[in-house]
Amino acid sequence: MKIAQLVIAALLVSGVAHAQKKGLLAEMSGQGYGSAGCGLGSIVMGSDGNQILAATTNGTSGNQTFGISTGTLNCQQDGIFKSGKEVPAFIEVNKVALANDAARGEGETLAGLANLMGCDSQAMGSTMQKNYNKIFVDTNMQPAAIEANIHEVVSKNNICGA
Amino acid sequence: MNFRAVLILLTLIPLFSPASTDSINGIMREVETRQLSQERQWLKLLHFEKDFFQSRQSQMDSPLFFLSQDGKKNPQAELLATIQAFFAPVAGMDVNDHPQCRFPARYRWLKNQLKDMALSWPDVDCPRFKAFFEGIRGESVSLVFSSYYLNNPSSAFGHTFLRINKAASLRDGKRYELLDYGINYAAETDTNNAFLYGFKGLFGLFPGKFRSIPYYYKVREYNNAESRDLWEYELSLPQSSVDMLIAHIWEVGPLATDYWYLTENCSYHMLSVLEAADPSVQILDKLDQFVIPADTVRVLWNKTELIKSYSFRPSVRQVYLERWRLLSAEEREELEALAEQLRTRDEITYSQNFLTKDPVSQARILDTFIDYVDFRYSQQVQEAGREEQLKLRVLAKRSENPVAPEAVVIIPKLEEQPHLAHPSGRWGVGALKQLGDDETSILFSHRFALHDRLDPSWGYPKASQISFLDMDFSSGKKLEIENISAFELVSAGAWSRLIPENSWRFKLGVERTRNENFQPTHEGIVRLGSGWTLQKGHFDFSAQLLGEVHYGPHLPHDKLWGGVGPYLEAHFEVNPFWLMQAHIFYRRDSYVGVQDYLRTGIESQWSFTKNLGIRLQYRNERFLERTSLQLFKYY
Repeated sequence: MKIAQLVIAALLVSGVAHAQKKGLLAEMSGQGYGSAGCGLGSIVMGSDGNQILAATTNGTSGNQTFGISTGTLNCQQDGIFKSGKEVPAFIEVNKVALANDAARGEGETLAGLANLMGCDSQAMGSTMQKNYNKIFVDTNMQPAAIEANIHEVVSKNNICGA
Repeated sequence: MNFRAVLILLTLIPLFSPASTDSINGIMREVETRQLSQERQWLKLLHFEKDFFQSRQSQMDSPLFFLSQDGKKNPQAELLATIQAFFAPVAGMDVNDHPQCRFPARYRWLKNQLKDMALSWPDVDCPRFKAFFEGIRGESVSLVFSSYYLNNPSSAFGHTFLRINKAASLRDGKRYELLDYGINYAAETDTNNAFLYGFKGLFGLFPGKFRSIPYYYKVREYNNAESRDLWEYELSLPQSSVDMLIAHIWEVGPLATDYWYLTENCSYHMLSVLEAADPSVQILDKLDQFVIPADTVRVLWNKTELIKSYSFRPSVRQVYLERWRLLSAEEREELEALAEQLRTRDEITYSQNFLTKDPVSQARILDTFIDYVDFRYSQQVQEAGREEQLKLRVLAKRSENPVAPEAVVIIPKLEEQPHLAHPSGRWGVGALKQLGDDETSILFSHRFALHDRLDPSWGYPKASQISFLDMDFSSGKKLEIENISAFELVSAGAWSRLIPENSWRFKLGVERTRNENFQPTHEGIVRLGSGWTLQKGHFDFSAQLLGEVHYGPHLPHDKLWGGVGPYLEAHFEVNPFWLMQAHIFYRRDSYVGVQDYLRTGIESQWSFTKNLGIRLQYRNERFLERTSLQLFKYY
């Protein structure tokens, strides 16, 4: 009885594995090596956030602990951000840490964003602290709105070079 | 004329000149004379390794990785086919599909090997590879170890990935680690079914893929969402090897390779790409057959000169605990009041006490509270749940206070550093005496991985046990299984008012015990329990409720039965090399009506070094009393 169960389970498993391998190969040969979009982790996430977790932990897709609701990381091609997409992706993934740093007026995440945007991080820290409500509360933490408001306050305060 | 046309023209000119055929033939001859196909780096670039049966072939499974039909088995054929392919005309294809663009590391290697010959190389311009290479802007490489995570079985052994460190910012000369790219190798899983997951993971049925992911994403995932510490080991690699690494990652990037949970796993392939990038890196042959992430870090530290420096990136839990330590007693009271409101109210109000404090003190309290919420309610924080909404209002309060946050610098003690841990495999030999047996029997044991709470505690989380395939055998009159723990997990995280977490334990395995006729019997067992652990210094005490299901094929009555009861355990660390614990367990069984069971046990291990220890165990249970003494060797 026990053995029968095992055999069935093994058959099921190999069946799934086989199907999956076929799927993968089809995908590969269909797209051709390295062409459009399949390169090194164009971290292509499917429509559901699950896949991104699968792509990142060495781990399970169950027990999900970290996922990103929408897919700005889709802005990667071959694992590298397309130009102009770095800032929105950074804000989306880091918005919680960024809000913390903004409220405190400084921090590693805020400094990282300042560098990406070509701004002075100290000036950016105090500007974002003063405009905390406008950037994070008024926007209801929506990434695109956060970005727009950050751009607005930094340009009004003229703290970014270039 | 468009760019592509120019490109095609440029590459066509040398191709159809007689010089190019001469070049190919010259190179072919030279490659034969120098036996380049047997060069270590060529073999490493193709991922040739001896397999379990000692036959040598490439570990890459995708046919797309090979230009020769024989490539997986024949490095010579692959080299010749590669050379041919490098000289292929670009016309009629997307230039990015040209073999030079697909295999830039091979191309670099070949040119470098033959740099003493005056050859005309038909360099192809590869826009997408170039964008990748320049986007990564790698100057150095770190191996990052993400610490153990019991809540996710596949992460219980930790995880490693590479971080390609960018050059300092051109604007201000500073490094921004968050903006680096990480290179991760992981299984692309497709099931939530634990059985399928384990089975497919163990037998290489998941496809493994390399991914380039911004480091900030990994930091948010590990440090924040899962509260795991990150250890970053910077490797001493010359720029040329860093460039080779990036080029090689490009080669393997688009492929899927069978992911083997215990052998060709995340940690293994981080090292295999390093070996491909730099022939002087030799580490795979220093590893065991089975690759445990923490072991790779330890081996790198102990057996190579590769680690230049290391740094520690604490989890949000550690940051919170450190901030809490820095608070005064009064400030802690305020913090608790805030935490209480967070639990019970829909609005945070600040007490008179808080409002009369100076801004420095207020900032300290709020900063601690912010990290507390992020740690304690990480799920709700990600999902913008109730706690996150309340926290955002606290942040608004914090933003009115211009005092800079206190810098949190955590320098882990030596005994907390994972590269200084004991090896994860363990052999044991000793003696076992059971009441009723005339003779003492010999005890052998072997544990595949990783750590229990009596092993030397250096480098492992002190409150955890992760045993995988721990087997004890005794040899008296005949060879007997004494105990098998396929999996045994213990999490004895301490309860506190602010962090009211549960401790728990789980075991799946086989135990040898005695039945009511005092006859030895083997029982398959699943044990699960949960409760609380209180900690005071080096002492902790757990009270848990355990439930067990037993299956004993040779039991005289019920073969399948269950039991449940309270379990108390005390654990004491005299020092990291001398630990002891004692337990008492009462269980009410369903076996033949209802029976009572009581077990007490005490055990202690004293370790001479991180690799050698001696353990004494005594256990007294219904129908059985046993004492054992074992010498453990960690390897």
